[in-house]
Amino acid sequence: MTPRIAIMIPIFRHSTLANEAISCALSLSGGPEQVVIAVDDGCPNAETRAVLDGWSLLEPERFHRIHQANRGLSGARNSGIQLALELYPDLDAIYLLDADNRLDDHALALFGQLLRDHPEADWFYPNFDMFGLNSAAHNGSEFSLAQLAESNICEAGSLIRRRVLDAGIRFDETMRSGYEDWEFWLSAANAGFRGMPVRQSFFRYRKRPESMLSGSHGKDDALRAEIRRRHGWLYDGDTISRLAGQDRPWFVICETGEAPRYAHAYDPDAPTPVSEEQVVTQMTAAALRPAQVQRPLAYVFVRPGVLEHLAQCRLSASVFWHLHTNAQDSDFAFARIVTDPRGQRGITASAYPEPPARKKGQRKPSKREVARAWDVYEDRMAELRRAVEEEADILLIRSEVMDKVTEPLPDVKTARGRLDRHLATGRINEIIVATEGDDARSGQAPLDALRALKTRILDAREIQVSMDLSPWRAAPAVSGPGNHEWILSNQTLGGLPLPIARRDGAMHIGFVAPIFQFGGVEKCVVALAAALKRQGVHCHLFVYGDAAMTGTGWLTEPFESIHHICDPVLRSWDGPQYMGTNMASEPEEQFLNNMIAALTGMDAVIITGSAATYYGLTALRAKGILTLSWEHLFETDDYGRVYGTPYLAVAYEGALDMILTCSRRLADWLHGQGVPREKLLALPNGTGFPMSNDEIADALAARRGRKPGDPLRVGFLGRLDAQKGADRFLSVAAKCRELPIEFSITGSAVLGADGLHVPDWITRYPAAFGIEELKEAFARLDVLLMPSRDEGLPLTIMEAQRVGVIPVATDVGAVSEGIVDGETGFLLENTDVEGQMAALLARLAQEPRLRARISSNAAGPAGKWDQNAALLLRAITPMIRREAFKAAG
Amino acid sequence: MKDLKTVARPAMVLIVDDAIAGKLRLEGLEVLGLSGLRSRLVRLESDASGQSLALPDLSLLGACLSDEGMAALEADAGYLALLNAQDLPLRALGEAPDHADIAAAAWGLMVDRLEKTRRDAAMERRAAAELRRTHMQVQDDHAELETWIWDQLAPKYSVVRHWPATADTVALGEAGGALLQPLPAPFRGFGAVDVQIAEDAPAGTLTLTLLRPGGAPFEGATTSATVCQGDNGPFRLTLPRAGSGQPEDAVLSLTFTPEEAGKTLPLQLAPVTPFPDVSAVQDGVALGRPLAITVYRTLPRMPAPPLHDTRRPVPADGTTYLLRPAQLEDPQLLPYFRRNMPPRFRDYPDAPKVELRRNEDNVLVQPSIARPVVAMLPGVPVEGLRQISAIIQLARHDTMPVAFAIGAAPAGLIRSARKALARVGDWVHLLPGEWGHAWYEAEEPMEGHVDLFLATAMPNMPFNTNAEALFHGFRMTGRAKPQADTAE
Repeated sequence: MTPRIAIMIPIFRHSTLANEAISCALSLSGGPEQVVIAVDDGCPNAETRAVLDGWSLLEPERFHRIHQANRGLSGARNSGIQLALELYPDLDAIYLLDADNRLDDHALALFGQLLRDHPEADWFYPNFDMFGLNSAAHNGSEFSLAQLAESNICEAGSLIRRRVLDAGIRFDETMRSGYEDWEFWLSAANAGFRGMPVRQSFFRYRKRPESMLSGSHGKDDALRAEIRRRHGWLYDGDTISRLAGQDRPWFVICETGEAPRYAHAYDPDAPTPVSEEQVVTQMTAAALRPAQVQRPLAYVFVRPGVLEHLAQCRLSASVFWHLHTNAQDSDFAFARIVTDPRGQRGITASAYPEPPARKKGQRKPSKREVARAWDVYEDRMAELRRAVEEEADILLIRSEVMDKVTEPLPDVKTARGRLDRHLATGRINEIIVATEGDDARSGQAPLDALRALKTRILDAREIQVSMDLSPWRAAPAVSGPGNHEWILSNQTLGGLPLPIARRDGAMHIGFVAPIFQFGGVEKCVVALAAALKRQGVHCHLFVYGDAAMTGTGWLTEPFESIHHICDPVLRSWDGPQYMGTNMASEPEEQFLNNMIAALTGMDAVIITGSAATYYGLTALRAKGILTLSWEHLFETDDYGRVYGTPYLAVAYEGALDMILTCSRRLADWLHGQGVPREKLLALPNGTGFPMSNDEIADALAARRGRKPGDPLRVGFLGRLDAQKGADRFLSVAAKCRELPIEFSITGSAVLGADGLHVPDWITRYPAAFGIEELKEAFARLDVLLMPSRDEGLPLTIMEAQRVGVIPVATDVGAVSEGIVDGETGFLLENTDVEGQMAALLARLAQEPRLRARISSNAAGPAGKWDQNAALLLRAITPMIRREAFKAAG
Repeated sequence: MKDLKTVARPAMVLIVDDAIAGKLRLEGLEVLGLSGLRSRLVRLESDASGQSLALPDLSLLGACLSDEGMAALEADAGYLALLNAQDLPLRALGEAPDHADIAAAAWGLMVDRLEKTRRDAAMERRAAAELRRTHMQVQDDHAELETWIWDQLAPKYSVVRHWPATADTVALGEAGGALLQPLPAPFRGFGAVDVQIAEDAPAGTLTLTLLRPGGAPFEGATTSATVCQGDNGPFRLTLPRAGSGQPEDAVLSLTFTPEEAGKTLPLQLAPVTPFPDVSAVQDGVALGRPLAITVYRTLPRMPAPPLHDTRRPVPADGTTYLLRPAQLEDPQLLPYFRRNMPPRFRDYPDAPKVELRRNEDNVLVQPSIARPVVAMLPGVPVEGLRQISAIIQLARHDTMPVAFAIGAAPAGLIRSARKALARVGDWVHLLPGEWGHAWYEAEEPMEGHVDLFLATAMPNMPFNTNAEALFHGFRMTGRAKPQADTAE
């Protein structure tokens, strides 16, 4: 006798019903040979042993039993599995049959067929065919790991291939309160095994009213938390969203050219072309069988060329995210691409106009006021409807809404007019995307393309509507394709992840900044991201602020995607104070969820001053995402007290995995505030903008070409404000007016520069933002004066040193980490700065050899950011939960 | 443990001290020392409970141990836990028991065991007797219930799925291959299926067999019907008895044996669908669309009742005229057991609505899920009435299937729904949104005034929401005195 299938029956208290299970298991025929193994799990009923004795006598060859002290269902199953594998090395599979359930007579024949015909499947799970409380529910869609993550779609009465057990997958014996089978399937899935639903009935689950009282439902929350804790490979990050994206397209994209072109996409930058017929067929199938057929999350109609333009701006994922997020509570979301004359980029979602309503505590408005309010509201609605018809460049409609407008019941004729009625009464959300590009429109209006597709769908459904094609079983109570948005919301922190593809197993790091203009911190972010990119990391920029961001090419070049959320709450500092520094105002729950969910695709998130993001740190860490803050400098208030984001880093230290600093000095300060040394990593600043080696050599050669008698060129570079010491610079210039020195200022007043008068003999240059402008700014200087009152470690020092400009700076902040006094520049005490600087300039003007020595000491390429990137990666790589990479591929 | 497969199982094991185990023989028992038994146990892997031993394929009679043996057992927690879990009968025999002591104790254990077994057997016999009694009672109750339902003249079948025909066909009979069509309903209760013959058929035999997608075919689930030369349109295949057992998936297997070799039977196909699991399959090739079929279900295990055929000839010598609802008096809802129904229940929400909608020229007879509903149109003058047909409609899509029937009786003769149901014709089932015809044929020509009965029912349906069952117009055939001005 060489049985191929072992049927495992654990018994605890079901002493009598076990006879039915054993009897039906032994009476199976017509397939591979089977053996039955009953496990008496320390059943307190003596009848169990009598029953098993009896079966042992009746079927000594095909029936085994094992008695053990009670170990719970998992332990009983494991004992049976162990015995089966040891006794019968030639087994192909094991079937788990609980003592109160039954198998149909043809089950064995079906098992043989399944094992033979589906070598790719590792376990086979049944429909939910119940007896007792009679009901039948089907087993949903094709096997989906995303759905298995949300609920147990695989009934324990499954046929499991030998190879799953040979891989050491067993039931967890510590899960004695339930969900042990769910945990088993997840462990198997983690090992690379996959299930397959069996559409034919073969298994009968005894459903008694008592089943509804079973304890595991009452402990659902705790058990789910335990499952999540054990299976970070699946629940961490945005893995479930990505897996769901493998089950179905997130977006069906229709490009509205002369002939519409369709594509499926998770990441809008990586679409897969499909035919219109495929789109219509899938949609029809999903509408007819919502519990079995996967449908896309949303349909996106886009004018030709728009996707390419957004891809160039690296904004595609962000625009789709905004449209999709805004469509959650509306019927349509559309985007207009506009050109920003300042070359800025930004994505602004306008709130849907609400009909006028009297607020609590508000006085009763007059009739005229009411009428005016309604006029304003209706004008806005009319404007929105006009804009969606004529000016939309992208239109997104969620599948749920698409189903409504294409629902053929009660008759197809009525359905044809439904889209326009929906437009007239539905909610429309508008997104404005400002870019530096051209906003000329071409192709068919997205709404017209939607109308055309709707007609095709209705034509297809007209045929299908007369047929009832639903399965005869009811939809299952577990999650299925129809609950997809709900699953996503459950598993992605209540919002939507940014739809970006993971093209390889490399690390993804997100930088979160409240401003992205041309400041020092931004340049540090860009420089570190560029260095990380050179080391194979995918970097993404998240600008969570209240204003547009710069679109300057070299600043955005290192980032694979840029996500922009613009809202005043993101720059509101109305939270409580911590050690004298105001915390950010706490965003509303849904807004915060949206912000944080967009970050779930990252392995690590580096926050640079975005204090609102701190409110989501715990949620991010619960998703296995590494949280870091990057601190740069303090600010000084009008009373001379320092404050700033380093205090917030201390405030949130417990929720941060690591704190990066721009200088060793700041790291020491944070350590002094109680941050453990292991959490601190100093990444001393390097240069803020890139220059090639050739460019540096050319700049140095030009400098060497100057004659010793040429006047000394001394300049101020940066914001004309008190912090940077612009007033001190003007005093120094005045004191040195008689010396052979040419003074210049490159920059513009930003903060606190009211009343600053720049005399005509000091040359003024506008602020330099582009790389070429910056190179020119340094090329026209021999000495850079930095009489700052407050600093971190300014990038300008390293940028100046690189091209042989001598930095002369006050010894504030971490400036001393950038200048070796008398070697690579000059450091001056922060008292009588004007006098010290004037004396030094006089000396430099008279000593060309000193100038030449200092100038050449630190000149040339530094590569500091590459060292920083390597340091960072060395620190965070062991902390990142790499399993998440594996699951989502 | 390997020998478990091949060695005959010992009848029963007696556990004794190790020192005695090898020396004692007791007929019919295997005598094992504590160590001997231990060596037969399975050591469990991955055991979180710490109880790492299990007992495979052994029946323990009990243990007869000396004080020393008891101490040895108690010192081994895992061993003790396993034996305790078996509720092992234990005899403590003092310091140094001899063989006779052990044999006597073993005898006692055996007697206890026998007594328990006898008691268990008696209980099983009692349980079986009770089960037989209950089973018989259930059978009687069921039979009575069936008779009762039958007597109520309620419809005993329903249409569970209808897939419309298109102009596309599949030829059945070529090379004798079977055409497989997944059944869009469970086998349990499946009674009959209509296929659509596309054009004049060749003579032959059409055979239906119900198969499982995997596993042996269903027992006794096969039927054949003769196809006559020239047959076309709906063609019904009825199982001798409807399917029974648990609800199961099934496949219809159709074969056609023509009388004249080489002929094939053209069957119409339904529209293309995106679902492979409803697609017909011929010679292993999926057609991408199902057959055009109508599937009927009835009571499991029962012979299918006569299913109404809408193609009924009008009497050749009759005169037919159209009678519009708007020309008739308001309908009355015939009471159901009215005498026994407390007045407060007469307006119970389930009480269905019956009304003449003059503007729409139809009669609404709202069905109930609880029982057939009969409306009466009183006092219609007729002459030699032999046949009535009505145009029926289930007006909305968002409801459940409804059965319609019409009937007639001499005016004033019948005043209750129950009696009226004996006077109605065959039940016709409409799916939501469908139109159809209901027929009634009088056994003898009727004269004078008659009451028309309009009956609706929703057998086995969960709700009657939106069930707008409408009767539109009546064609009266006979020598009737035309009351209507529109004659055909």
